[in-house]
Amino acid sequence: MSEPSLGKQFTNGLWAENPVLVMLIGMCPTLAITNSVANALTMGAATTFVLICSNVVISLLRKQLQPHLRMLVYMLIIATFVTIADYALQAYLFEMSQALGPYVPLIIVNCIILARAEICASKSGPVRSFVDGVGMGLGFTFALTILGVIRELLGMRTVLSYQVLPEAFVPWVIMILPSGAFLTLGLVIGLVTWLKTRKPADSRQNKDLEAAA
Amino acid sequence: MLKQIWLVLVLSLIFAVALAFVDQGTAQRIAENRQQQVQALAQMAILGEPAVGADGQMQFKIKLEPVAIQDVQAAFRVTPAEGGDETLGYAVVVEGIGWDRLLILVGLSPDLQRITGVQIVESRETPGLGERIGDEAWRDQFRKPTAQPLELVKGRAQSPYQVEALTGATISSDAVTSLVNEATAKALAQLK
Amino acid sequence: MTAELIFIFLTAAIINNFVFKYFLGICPFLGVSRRVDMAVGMGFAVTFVMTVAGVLTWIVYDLVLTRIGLEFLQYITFILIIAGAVQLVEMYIRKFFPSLYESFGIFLPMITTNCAILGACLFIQKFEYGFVQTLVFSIGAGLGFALAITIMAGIREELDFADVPKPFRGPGITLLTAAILAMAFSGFLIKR
Repeated sequence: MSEPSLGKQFTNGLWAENPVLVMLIGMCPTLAITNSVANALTMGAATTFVLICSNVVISLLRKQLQPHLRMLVYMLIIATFVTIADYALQAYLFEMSQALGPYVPLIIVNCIILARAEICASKSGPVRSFVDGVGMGLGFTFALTILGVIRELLGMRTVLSYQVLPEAFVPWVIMILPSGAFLTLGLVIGLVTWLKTRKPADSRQNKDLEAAA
Repeated sequence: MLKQIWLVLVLSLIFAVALAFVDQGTAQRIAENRQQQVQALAQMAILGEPAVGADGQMQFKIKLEPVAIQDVQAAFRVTPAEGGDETLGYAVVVEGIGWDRLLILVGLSPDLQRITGVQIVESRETPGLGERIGDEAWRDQFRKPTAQPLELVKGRAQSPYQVEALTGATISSDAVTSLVNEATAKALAQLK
Repeated sequence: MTAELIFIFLTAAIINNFVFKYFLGICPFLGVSRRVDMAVGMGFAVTFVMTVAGVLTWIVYDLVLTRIGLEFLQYITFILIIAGAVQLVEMYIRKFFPSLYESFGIFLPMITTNCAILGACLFIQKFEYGFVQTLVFSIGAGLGFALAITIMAGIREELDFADVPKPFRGPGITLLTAAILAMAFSGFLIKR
């Protein structure tokens, strides 16, 4: 089986196999952190950093890994990079680190990183793993941002703390509460599922048949 | 299998050392950040002045000197940043629970007879409702004498020792009031 | 002391339910909650691992890491302890409950990545609990998770007979149900 091109590997994470909206992994931070766009972007960036670093390191070590202690090695590597990210945030973006709270160390158990380590990094070279990390990371950040925009806009009238909706709009406070998180994610996933299953394949198939005829 | 364990141990060692470096490199900045956060809030509570200068940098007019009070998160004697050992007031940090963990800083006058300000250090109350304890105007209510514990009321405050609750945020308001009373009581008992 | 322990237990299990307030353990929450018997089994397995991990991480952090100034190794040691605890539980269930082991399949080792467990260990440090409080908190949090996942399983079994619109089948409708459950759980309050 031939491997997809590097470009395809990259866009894979953005839409086709978007970790949150399609593969349905990495939900915990998605629900917790998306009550403001600033939080969403920072979390996305931190996760992408860890994802890229761990993907590359695991890829470099892939020949040494064997079934039994594989998980342990993954966890070790991921935990190390998360510690680095956490300390960096505390040192340089202190207020953001307080806002994100315990969810930064929870990047360690973000299923996305483990999934990519298992599916891609342990079987591919460092360049491909790097590209995969970037794609998946951006896809994750993209999903977080969509939710963040919806929740912050409807819940506080603002986006990135700039007021966008007029004063006359009464904010839907529920959007920033836990219920709103589940609600928004559920609706967005419903929308994405609908978009993906709308049978665009039919029109492509017809075109192929016409071309062949 | 043995080779595997070898690998795990070597990796652990490498990563541990790497993290030690990261820790060393960032420890000072992190400690400063924490310290500055409390310092800025203390300045707000005692002097009513924010700690950010015109250029966006932190500028402090006060210094904090730790004092011992039992069962509180932290307590400080507030002195001028430059020149003199005059007590400008006391800052007591107490921890409690509203909707979620709540950490507030209570500013007291040098003679402990008056609450000069209440600042929120950490809160995760309900956005839009409980989080309104962050409103300066609501917290200004707490600047009262310390002769009596403050009482939370839902309607209008009738007596000078009553504080009006935020509509729709009774739990958070109540939590802040209890914590303020706790801070003043402990300071009065142990600092006199 | 007992009152405080009851408070910690109830808060961890219901008022600050790990799933509906802190969004921890969502992956298994969505994945395993299709049938009530599996949900209950998973709930208990998680409670067990959480208790073991909570206590072990507390011991290692409070009694070892802080004493020798290696706090920066916190995340690494925590996750390794959790992985070890899950391994232990796996071996135990495999030996004494083989049929349960079969039906769990991949979900058992996946408990390692259950954010609820690491989350619990980190909360214990944040709230600075002692040994007994850690024990009570871990059991409470685990049972709270078990409660959430069982309620969800019960509802989903009913939903199997409902006419859910196509794009929402599976995770979509589960999340919307969770939204309503979260609203319900936010009604639980405690006045200290």
